[in-house]
Amino acid sequence: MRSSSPVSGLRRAQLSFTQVLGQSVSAVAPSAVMVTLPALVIPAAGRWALAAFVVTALLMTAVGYCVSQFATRMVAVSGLYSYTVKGLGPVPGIAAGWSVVIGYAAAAMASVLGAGSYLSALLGRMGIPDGAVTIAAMAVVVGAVALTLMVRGVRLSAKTSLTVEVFAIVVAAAVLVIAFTTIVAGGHDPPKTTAPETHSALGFALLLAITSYVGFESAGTVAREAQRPFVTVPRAIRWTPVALGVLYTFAAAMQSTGTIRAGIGSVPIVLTLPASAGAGATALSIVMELGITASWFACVIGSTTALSRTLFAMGREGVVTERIGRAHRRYRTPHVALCVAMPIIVAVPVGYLFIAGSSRDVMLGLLALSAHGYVGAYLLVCLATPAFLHRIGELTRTPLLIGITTAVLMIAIIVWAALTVDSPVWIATVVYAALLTTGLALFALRRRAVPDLAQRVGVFDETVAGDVFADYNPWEVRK
Amino acid sequence: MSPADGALSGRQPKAVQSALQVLEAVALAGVGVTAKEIADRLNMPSATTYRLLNLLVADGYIVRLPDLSGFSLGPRMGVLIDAAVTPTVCTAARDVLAELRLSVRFGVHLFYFTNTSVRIADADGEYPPPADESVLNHRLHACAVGKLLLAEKRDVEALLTATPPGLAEQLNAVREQGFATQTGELRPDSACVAVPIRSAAGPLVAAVAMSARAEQGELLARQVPVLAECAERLSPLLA
Repeated sequence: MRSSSPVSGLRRAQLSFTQVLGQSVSAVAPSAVMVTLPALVIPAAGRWALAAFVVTALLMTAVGYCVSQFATRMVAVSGLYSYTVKGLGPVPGIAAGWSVVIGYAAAAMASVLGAGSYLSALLGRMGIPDGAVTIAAMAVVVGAVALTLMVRGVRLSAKTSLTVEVFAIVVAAAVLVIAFTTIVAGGHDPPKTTAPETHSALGFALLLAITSYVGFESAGTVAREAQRPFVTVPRAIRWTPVALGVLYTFAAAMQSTGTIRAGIGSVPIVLTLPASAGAGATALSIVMELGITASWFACVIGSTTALSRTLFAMGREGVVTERIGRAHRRYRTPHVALCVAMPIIVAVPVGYLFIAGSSRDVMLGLLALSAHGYVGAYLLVCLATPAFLHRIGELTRTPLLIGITTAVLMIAIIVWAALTVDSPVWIATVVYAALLTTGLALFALRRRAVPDLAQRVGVFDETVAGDVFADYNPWEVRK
Repeated sequence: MSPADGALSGRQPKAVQSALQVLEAVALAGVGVTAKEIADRLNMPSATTYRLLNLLVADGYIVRLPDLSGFSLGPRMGVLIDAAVTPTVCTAARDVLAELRLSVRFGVHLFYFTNTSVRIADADGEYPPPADESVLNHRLHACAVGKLLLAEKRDVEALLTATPPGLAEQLNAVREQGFATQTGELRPDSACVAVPIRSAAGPLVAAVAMSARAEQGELLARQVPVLAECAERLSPLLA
């Protein structure tokens, strides 16, 4: 048994349950999803849109159940990555690890761009020219502010993102209620969906709905820094999908009462409020843009926090350079991982934006890539659950059943989506596959340099010699 | 809330009894016992056993070993055991204290430390300590022996309800000087000085202290070398 934890350096017992929950929720950016995603799902799913959100809520709750099997048994810093290693072994574990890294990084990139776009749209209302340059400048500002907060301490950044996210959710809910009840009260035509009723895209709609939940498992990456981690982390992971399901179903229900369409302006995938929402439409739009900016900003913090902890663990193991695994002496945060990740998180979407020209395309591309990462990791962790419980001799019927059923359902949805989709999502699939292969190749390469790497992966905040109660002497003071 | 969240009501005596049975089984089995073995030993349904084990781990009564399959008693058990033990002082140590008491006109007391508290092991009968054990433990920051304990700890806040201003500097001074004092902090009319006693391996195990009236604070400070010498003689007798 070791005398000190392999992930020492991060400060313990910093986050309360609410803040752990905030980590999970802000990594999802639910309010941005609430006002954008139903607009994408409803045309694809037709009158099944509500059902799609309910079904995916149940499915993600099942994934949450699987993840919480690990979270009640180990205090991780790298969430799904270390969980999968413990269940399926090093190579599938590394695949899950790079998958979540891709998921978190691409989500953070999309969020930086999202926050940048909405900020520049807000500035545009004040007369500052709205364009790629302004968006890039705002993205840099967002990245710098988020980085400062996260390096200064997990509690500070968690508090900020929680406050910002709560504001965003309240705003999104209020805007939806005001905008869409006004239409109904105004005596307009009953809802008419313009989408063809063929449901040919239902599989894709389900996958889209799944992507609106991703990130909820990220509480697993702050377990070391949480108070009572065996209680707070599983609870956050178990309840976030349920709460999100309620929010999304509400949002979808509100939006299916009006004619809606996804906007195609300079602002990426934002819901365009119906003109009939009244004279207050402009004011509502401004409030909503503020709310969505807030949500994207919280998502930058949430995703980058999760990303940095995962990279930190990889640094400690030797999967990436040991320098990434260093923690700040005073603030006790993985500052090297943060400082390496943040410039990339800002540079990639900004560079992509200047090449592609449309922030909407960049955003959709990044979100699709991130969804691949998350879904891949979820699939692996569901398979890992029964394997892990079997390995430690604690397998019972429920987790076996839920783990396998969830994995099978997810595979079915992925295949169904792949058959029904006719969009350029394939590009994201290719990029994801290429990145994952690079990650696995890097692992193979590092294995030559570090011979015992396969044994070292999957670090977590394990019990150390001082915590084990043997040869106890009551008459002494321990540190 | 699901039952796994720890929301047991007092109306579930069976659950409480089962949890205590599991705890006892882990204690008896020793380091490294697995969940399956506990379930078999207690004839308890395995899902119930695993859930109870996870609850006990969450609260720190037991810990999961790094292989994730073995269990052992955890740090929280120390709280129960520490509360149950009583200090005993050997005759040789009592003689050392008696000798010192004859040479000074202050109260001379011996304290033991558990991991989180101060215990009176041998109090001066003629000049009793300025406060009893429970007061000392509630106000560790205000008494000399309490400051010795706090100075050892990485997480001082865990032992205090509120951290008074300037405590960190005081504790740094205690660490540098190797003794702690209080004048009028515990009671307006009392002053104390305490010197740590360490075991050969280094951990703090006890303290020898002198108490007097508040205005004698200066005189007490001059007794530090005497106390340090006494501590050195007591160390092999106590640890």
